[in-house]
Amino acid sequence: MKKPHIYLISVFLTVLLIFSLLGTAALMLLRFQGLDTEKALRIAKEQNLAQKVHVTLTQRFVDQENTTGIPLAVYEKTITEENCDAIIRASVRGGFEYLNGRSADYAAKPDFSVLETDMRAFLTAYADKNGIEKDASFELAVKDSLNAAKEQILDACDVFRFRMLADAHALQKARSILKWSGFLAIGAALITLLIVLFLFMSNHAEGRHGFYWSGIALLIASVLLMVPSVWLTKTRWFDRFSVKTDQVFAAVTGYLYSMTNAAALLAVCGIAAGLLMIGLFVLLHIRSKKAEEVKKLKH
Amino acid sequence: MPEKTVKKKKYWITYTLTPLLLLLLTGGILVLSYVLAPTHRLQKYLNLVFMDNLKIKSVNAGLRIREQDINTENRETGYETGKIVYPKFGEQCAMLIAPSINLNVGVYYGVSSELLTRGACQSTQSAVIGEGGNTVIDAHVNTYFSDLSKLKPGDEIQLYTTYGSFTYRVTENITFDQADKRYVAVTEEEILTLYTCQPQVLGSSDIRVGVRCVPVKKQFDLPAEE
Repeated sequence: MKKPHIYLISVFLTVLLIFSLLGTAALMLLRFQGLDTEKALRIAKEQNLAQKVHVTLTQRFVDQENTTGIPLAVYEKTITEENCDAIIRASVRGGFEYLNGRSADYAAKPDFSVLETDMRAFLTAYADKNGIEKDASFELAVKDSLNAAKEQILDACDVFRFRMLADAHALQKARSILKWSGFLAIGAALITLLIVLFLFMSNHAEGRHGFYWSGIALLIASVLLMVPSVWLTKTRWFDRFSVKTDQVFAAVTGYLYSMTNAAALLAVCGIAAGLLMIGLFVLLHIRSKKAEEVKKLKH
Repeated sequence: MPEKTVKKKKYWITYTLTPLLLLLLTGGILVLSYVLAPTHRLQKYLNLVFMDNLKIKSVNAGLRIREQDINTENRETGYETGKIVYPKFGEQCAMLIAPSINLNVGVYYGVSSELLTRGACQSTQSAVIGEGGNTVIDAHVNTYFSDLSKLKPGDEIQLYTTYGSFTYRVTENITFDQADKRYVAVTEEEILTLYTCQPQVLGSSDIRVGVRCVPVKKQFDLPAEE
């Protein structure tokens, strides 16, 4: 602190360190929280998405009964909470594995054989009762009805909207970057270490100042991470999203809140580490002053 | 005060003020970069996925259905251009009346299975009534729009909102595939598009039927704000 040029260099390096710490934290959160398949599956369970999907699909098929002529009973065995849960899990796993670069396809491929049997049985009975010929157009109607039902079930179970993101080519774009997130996180951590090293090198005459600058960088970065995270959680900010579908709303907001909670937790750890480093600096400062005084007394 | 004490004090002030200044500097840079960041592309993807603009509502999440008392009497006076009240998702935004088919139904802003059980629904991607552009309204064929295909060119349709009344005339009957966005796409000219599913007994139908209408009279309750 005694030499202005060292002070200015330290300020510059500290600003760089704050941003690199924030970047590292963001990439770590993305890699170990945001892209973690198991955590996403846990969110799906916590938010009771299977039950929500079951309710949505039941309502949808009841609504459609007068238009399609197909009663809810045809779908009932397929859209049980257990089956919905299995399809949601397959959809979430597929999407996250794809984003992580561990799978070439995001789409869930559930078994719809029960639906196929029930649909065919109903439409055959309907055709027999109404004297409809079971020709090619009947087969087409069966196929169309089955495909429409499958689409609706898959759509309702796609709680993170991977299919729509893929249709907009956003999923593929995200994958091309996110599959490298692990390397990017390691790279950011290395850059952070390098800046810390430079800080200590530029303060080599009074090594303890390295702890001071690194400590305040950690503190500031943590505060910058903590303030928005706490604000978003306390005000329940994501609850204001008007996502129409209940299960999508629950999945998306649940995911975002879990990310903000993880960010707040990381910030608390950062603040503790920052305070520890500043404490270390104060301790070394006091010891060095005492040593100086002893030295002076001896002289 | 001895010179050594003054120097010591100066150092401690620097030690204390530096973190505050750095916090302000980095915080300022972050706020500025957030403001200047090109978020419109992300917004585009979010719109595509969630289809409703991530509009922030005043209170809690989820679908909040709000019915309104809408005056369906013809206004004697009014303005040709005027103030539009933009509806929120789930809010009743109009009353749709088509005398030739005895249709009198509430129109809700946004499309969901729950809203479709209550009345007709206006797509949030379409123009707000009276704003100009393509206003798209649909409803179930087995409920409110069961007679929609009986509308003929020349028939009159009224839309009453909380901010004015709007009269349209049917110009054509339309039939299109669900995947065909031609009739529900954004347009420059002011149009009203009403559609529903084509009734089909066996299996679900991908065919949509409806009408296109042009405005013939607009009566806003309040003039446009300058």
